[in-house]
Order: sequence, then C-alpha cells, then structure tokens
Amino acid sequence: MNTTSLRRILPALAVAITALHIGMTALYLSPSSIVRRETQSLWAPYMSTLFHQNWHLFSPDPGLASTKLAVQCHWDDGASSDWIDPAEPVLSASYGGRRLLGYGKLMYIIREIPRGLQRDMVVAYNECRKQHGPADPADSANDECTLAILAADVSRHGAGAAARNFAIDVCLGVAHDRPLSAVDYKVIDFMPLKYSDRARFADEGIGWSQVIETAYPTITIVDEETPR
Amino acid sequence: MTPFRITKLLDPITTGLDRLAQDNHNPDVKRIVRSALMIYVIYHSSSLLPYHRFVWGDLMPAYHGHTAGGSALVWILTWSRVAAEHGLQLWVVLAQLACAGMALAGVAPRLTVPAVYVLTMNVNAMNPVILDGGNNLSQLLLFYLCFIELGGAGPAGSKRRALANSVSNCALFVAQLQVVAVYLCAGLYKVNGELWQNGMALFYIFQVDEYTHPLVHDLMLSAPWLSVIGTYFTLAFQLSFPWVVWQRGWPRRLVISAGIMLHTGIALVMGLFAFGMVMCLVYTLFLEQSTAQAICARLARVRASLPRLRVRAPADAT
Repeated sequence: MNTTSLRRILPALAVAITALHIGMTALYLSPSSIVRRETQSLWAPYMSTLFHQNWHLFSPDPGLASTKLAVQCHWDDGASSDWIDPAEPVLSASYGGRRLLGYGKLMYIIREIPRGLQRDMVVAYNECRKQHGPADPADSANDECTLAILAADVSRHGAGAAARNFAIDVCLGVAHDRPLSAVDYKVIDFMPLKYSDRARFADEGIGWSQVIETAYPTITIVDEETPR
Repeated sequence: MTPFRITKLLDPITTGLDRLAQDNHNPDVKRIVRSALMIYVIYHSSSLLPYHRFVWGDLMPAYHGHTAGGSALVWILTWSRVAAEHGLQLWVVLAQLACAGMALAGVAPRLTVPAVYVLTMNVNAMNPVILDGGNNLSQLLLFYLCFIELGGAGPAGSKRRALANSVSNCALFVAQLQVVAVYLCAGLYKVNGELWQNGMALFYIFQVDEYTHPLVHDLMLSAPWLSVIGTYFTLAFQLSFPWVVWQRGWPRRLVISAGIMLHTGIALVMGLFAFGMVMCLVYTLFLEQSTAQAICARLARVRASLPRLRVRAPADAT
C-alpha cells in the first residue's frame, strides 16, 4: 500500500467515525419508532455517558405553575411568624439585575426544594396505592395513603428530608437566639391566569387563577435531638 | 464499469479526503470557538464562586440524589462528588477556572482544553440541580473542542498531521451539527405543544415567577398579542435555523441576528443568563474564516498596542 493510500485511509477513518457518531446521535434524538427501539442496545450505552442531551426546552408545553415552599416558625414563648417565602429575597435580587451575577442559578436550587418534595410524595403515593389498592371514599378514615402517613416517611430521606431541614434552617435563620418549638411548612402552587381571566389582574389585582396549598405535618423541635 | 470510470467516480471522494487531511481548515474560527467556550466556563463558575458552599458544598439545601461510583470513565468525570463531601469543592472550581484561563490565553490548548472538559464535568456533577440546557450544550461542545484542538499537530506532510487535521475538521463539523440539532429538536418538540401552536406559550411562561420580570409579566397580561408575536417568532427561528445557518452571506447573518435577539431576551427577561450567553457564544461556530481572521487580527493589534511591562535587569539600571 503506497503512502498516498495510507494517508487517505486516516481521514476516511475519521469520516467514518464521525458518520457513526452522527448516526448514533440522530437515533438518540429521534422520536420513538421501531428503528429507535430495535437499535437501543447500540446507541443507549454509547450516548448515555458522554453525550446525554435533552432539548425539551419549555416544550412540548411549558410548565405553568410557580411552585414555592412557605415556612412558618413557632417559638417557645408562644410567638409565631408570618408565612415566609425563602425564595423571595433571591427572586427580588434576581429581578433587580443580579440574575447576571448567578442569582438565576441560585433560584434553581431554591425552587428544587418544593418540587423535589412533591415528586417524592407522588412516588410514595403511587407506591402506596399499588400496595393497598385504590382509595375507598367510603372508608377514608382507614386510608393508608394519606398525606400525614406518607409525609412522615418521605421526610426522613431524599428530597423530603431536604425540604424539612431547609424549613428548620429558615426558622433558625429568622431568630437564632429564640428557642424554636415548631415549624410548619407547605408547598404552594400558583397557577397562572388564563387568557380569558386576564382582566382580573387589571381590575382586581389578582395574579393567579388558582392557588393550591399542600400543608405538611408540623415539625416539632426537640432541642438538639431533632432528627435532621 | 472500466477501471477508468471507477477512478473518475472516486475522484471527488479522494479529493475531499485529501482536502480534509492536508489543511487545518478554519483555524481562526476554532481559536474563537475555544475562547467563547472558555469565557462561558469562566463566567458560569466565577458567578457562583461566592456561594460555593450553598451551590456545591455542605450548605446545599436541595437534594440532588447522586451517588459516587460507576465505571472508570464515570469516576473520572464525577470524582468531585467525593471531594465535595470533604469540603474541597472550592478547589475543584478553582482548578477549573485556572485551566479555563490558561486555555483562553492560548496556553497549551491541547492539554488545557481536555482538562477544562474533565473539570467542568466534575463541577457539574457536584450539583446537577443547577444545570440547564446551556450546561448540557457546553459539556458536549467542550468534548468536541478537545478534538478540534488537534488541528495542525505533527510535522507537515506526516500521517500524524493528516489524521490530526481530519479529526479536527470533522470535530468542528460535528460541533456545528450539535448546535443545529438543539434547534431542530427544540423546534419540533414545541410544534407539538398546544400553547406553542396557538401562540400563547409566552403568555403563560411569563407568569411563572422565576422565568419572568415584573415589568414583562404586567406587559404580557395587558398586551397578550405580544405573546403571539414572540411565540411564533421563537418557532420560526428554531425551525428555520437548521437550514438557513448553512447558507453563507445574509441568510446566515439574519438567522444568527435573530438568535442573538432571542437569547438576549431569554437572558435578561427570563433570568436564564448563562443559557442565553452560551447560545450566543456558540454562534461563533458558524463564523466564516475570513471574518474570524479579521477578528483575530484586530484582537492581536489591540494586544500589541497595550503597554508592555518591562523588567529591567540590574545591569540596565545604570
């Protein structure tokens, strides 16, 4: 084989590998089809480690709810705080121009707390229903899959524990010198105004079509022995 | 078919392969792409540096669900999780910034760019919660950049140079295709969504607290027709980009200008500043070599005109 042929094999090899990579990427990104399903054992291991990608950017439909965590602190002296939105200072700073300074990314972390909690609750609920069967409206008192029962387990690990600890930290940050006795927290979903209801914003100052609150069991603070 | 006819058929292929191997095409484009990606990496990490314990360390409140372990390759890309558990996340980020700074300055890019890639994957692995499409795209493009940087390696006329140029030129093309794939997928997914089809997607997106600004929120509620314009503009741009960007001259300039407008709006209004920034920076992949050459020449003139720090040896002092 002469030198010219060898020098052409090398770029041909580069082209072949490039074509293979483009083909794998095309299969990975393509919609579900029989070709994609049948070749999954080829492209999945190749793409998953180094070339994982997801371009569902606000699509097919954007998420509509503004999801927030609200926290209320109770102290030993009987006083209680208003409901606190821990995201509010970061969001306000972000609106003021600090989104150029990383505040947009900090919002990702803060909004993940209630969303992670909701996801874990949904998973726990579905698992519970699989185990105990569908809910019986006539026997709701004996339902094993209520929020109170599930939340007790969910708040011990994962996103549930993270949300619980975050709520406690918010209250400790409000008044570190006052002994904290209990913390209440809830997840609030603010649903946007529909196009047909937009006049309510101008006329009544109402910014949401629906507000859905999910209150979690109160956290009782037992001095330093509070499981965190 | 006679051998002569077969040779004639293969001529374009052999000519193409020779072109691919002989020259490191678009060297100034490649240089600018490297600078653009390093600027993004430096901005992204340094903007979060003041909050490193909250973002990557022991004060991180959200649950990210990752665990260390896996294959050797996974370990190379995620060892930082162990470092973060021991409070060393700051050093990982500083190492990333140092390597990115060196790569930006053109110091040993064939070494520093792969280092930036590995360190960026590790920084991202420490907290996947803060990652978005911009991080995803930058990870992919940094990987391709490792191969783009190989262009021109080896003695002229050698097989090593032929392979290096081929790999570099192919990698640039793959990086361009990757950006095109982003818009093609994003556009096609959107077209399947009812709110994008009826022009009301932005009306609802700009009511989500973290993706809006109070002024834009109020504007959208008082003038919803703006949502229709913005929604269809976004669709038209994303669906046309994959085809128009390959046309040289004014079509490419037009579609890239539209992209810059869209992503600047996303950056400033929706709070997705890092995402908007990286999407604008990756358009450098589609610069023409003549334009890139002019930019590099202008930057070289600016650098040459800066006052130089002169260090006098003791013998010169008298």
